Amino acid sequence: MKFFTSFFEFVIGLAVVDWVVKVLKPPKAFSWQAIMWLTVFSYVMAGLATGFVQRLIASCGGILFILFVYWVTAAAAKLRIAKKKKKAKTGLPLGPWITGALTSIYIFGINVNVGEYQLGIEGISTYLLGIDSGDLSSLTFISWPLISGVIAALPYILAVEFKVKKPSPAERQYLVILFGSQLLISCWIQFYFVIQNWLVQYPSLLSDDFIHSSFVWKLPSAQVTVVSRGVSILEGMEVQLKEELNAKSWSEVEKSLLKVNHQKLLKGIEYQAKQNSPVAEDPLWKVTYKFSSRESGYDYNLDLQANWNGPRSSPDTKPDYYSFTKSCRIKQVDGRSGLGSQPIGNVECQPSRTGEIEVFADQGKR
Amino acid sequence: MAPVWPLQTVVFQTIFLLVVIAVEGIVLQRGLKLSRKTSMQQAASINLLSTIVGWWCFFALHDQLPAAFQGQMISYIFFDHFSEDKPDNFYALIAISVITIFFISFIIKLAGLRLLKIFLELAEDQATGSTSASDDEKSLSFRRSGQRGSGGENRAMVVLIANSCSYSAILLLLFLRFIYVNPISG
Repeated sequence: MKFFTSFFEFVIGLAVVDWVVKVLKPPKAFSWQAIMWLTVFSYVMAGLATGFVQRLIASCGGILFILFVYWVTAAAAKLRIAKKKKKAKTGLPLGPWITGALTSIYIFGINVNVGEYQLGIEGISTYLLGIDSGDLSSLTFISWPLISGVIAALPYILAVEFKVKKPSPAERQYLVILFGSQLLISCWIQFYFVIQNWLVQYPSLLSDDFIHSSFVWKLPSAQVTVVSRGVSILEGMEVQLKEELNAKSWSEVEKSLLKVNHQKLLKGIEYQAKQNSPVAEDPLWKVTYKFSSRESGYDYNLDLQANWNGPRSSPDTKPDYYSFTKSCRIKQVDGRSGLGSQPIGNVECQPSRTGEIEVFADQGKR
Repeated sequence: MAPVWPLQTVVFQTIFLLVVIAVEGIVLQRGLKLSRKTSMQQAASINLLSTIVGWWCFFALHDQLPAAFQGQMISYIFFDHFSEDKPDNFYALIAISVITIFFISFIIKLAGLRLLKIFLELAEDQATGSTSASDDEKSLSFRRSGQRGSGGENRAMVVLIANSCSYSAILLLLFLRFIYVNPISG
């Protein structure tokens, strides 16, 4: 029994090997199997070489691989959509778009994050022109439809033996519409990147909802995890305020907190805070403040409030994520200096809170 | 993957393009006496051209605009309404730019049709071809209608009518959508 199963396995294995050899063995010199083996060969050789030679051989291997994919996809009748007949080569072939994707990755490289996994391939233009592949990642996607359009047009332009031929007027009309549609798709892809750039420059938009938009759609799974720009401005102001007033003599602190001076002080602090990794939306965060001295006269309360004045989904309501408050207390402490004990300034702030608070009510509590 | 996609842009632009191509194709078919297939193909070509030129203008201009206009544009794209603090004469500027866009798109379509003819090495429109073939007929029609001059003028007129019809159709669709989004109550 055991003999039979192992014999059976042996026969099956033999048949598989036979089939693989039959499929992959080049029937003639000019065939996709030959190109596939050339690809494998050049990548093996590239693995053995180093430095410039390795890049050169690997680049040749890339071109051979693209040729191989083009050949296989162009030959496959299954890779067509909107077929009229089952077997015939009608409808729109998908092969050029697969080959086009590989070609644009080959030229410009790719850099995408899918969840935890990061895919990064450097394109040939990074080697040749020395451009950072991060800048080119969007070009890969933008050029994809165009390169695919060119590849799809090849059968109409190239005759046998790589001679250029002139397409008939009907074919030229088809090519015009083909290139027009591909350019339009590449415009859509570029618009996608414009939106991503806007969301980098206006990060607070992302916390709003886009259900009314007739242009963009936010994935329901999208989670806003980054700290709001309003909060980071307030935190930056706290740092600046401490730098400005801590460990200064109390008389100097009081002088800068005078009514005539504190506006200038706080404007400067706000400016400094916004200078930290600035984005285009910064002018839309309006910071207001409320100063009050306590009755004893030795410490001050400072309430800072950052309000979003930019675009939002419903102008009538004011959601929590568009308003942040921070309360600070500036008081006098004993500082040790060379001349003995001298009162100096000290700033204590609470963490930023969401939402508007009644500034006056807050003061009563403390 | 970034969480925001321009899905509606793609869907709406596809629908609008199909409507526009259908409308303009019919107008071209009647006005220039073309076959149905030819007119639809030509309408598709010139509308793809004008759409692409429009996108390129957007990409060239969107970060050159003053901050106030950029804010309005972002508000419109993300939230479907203009935000409060509008610049002075905002709606007047919008109206002027829409009218400008209408005429620029007309010129682009006219030039595109001419380029397409050259590229496809087609004879002139059948309408103009037949009139120029027999001079008597041409002068007859010229005398009869008075304003109908050469084939180029005729083509310009047809493209202008086609452009007007397609803009009206799109405006109607936008109006219907506006009614749908903001139902009139009471």
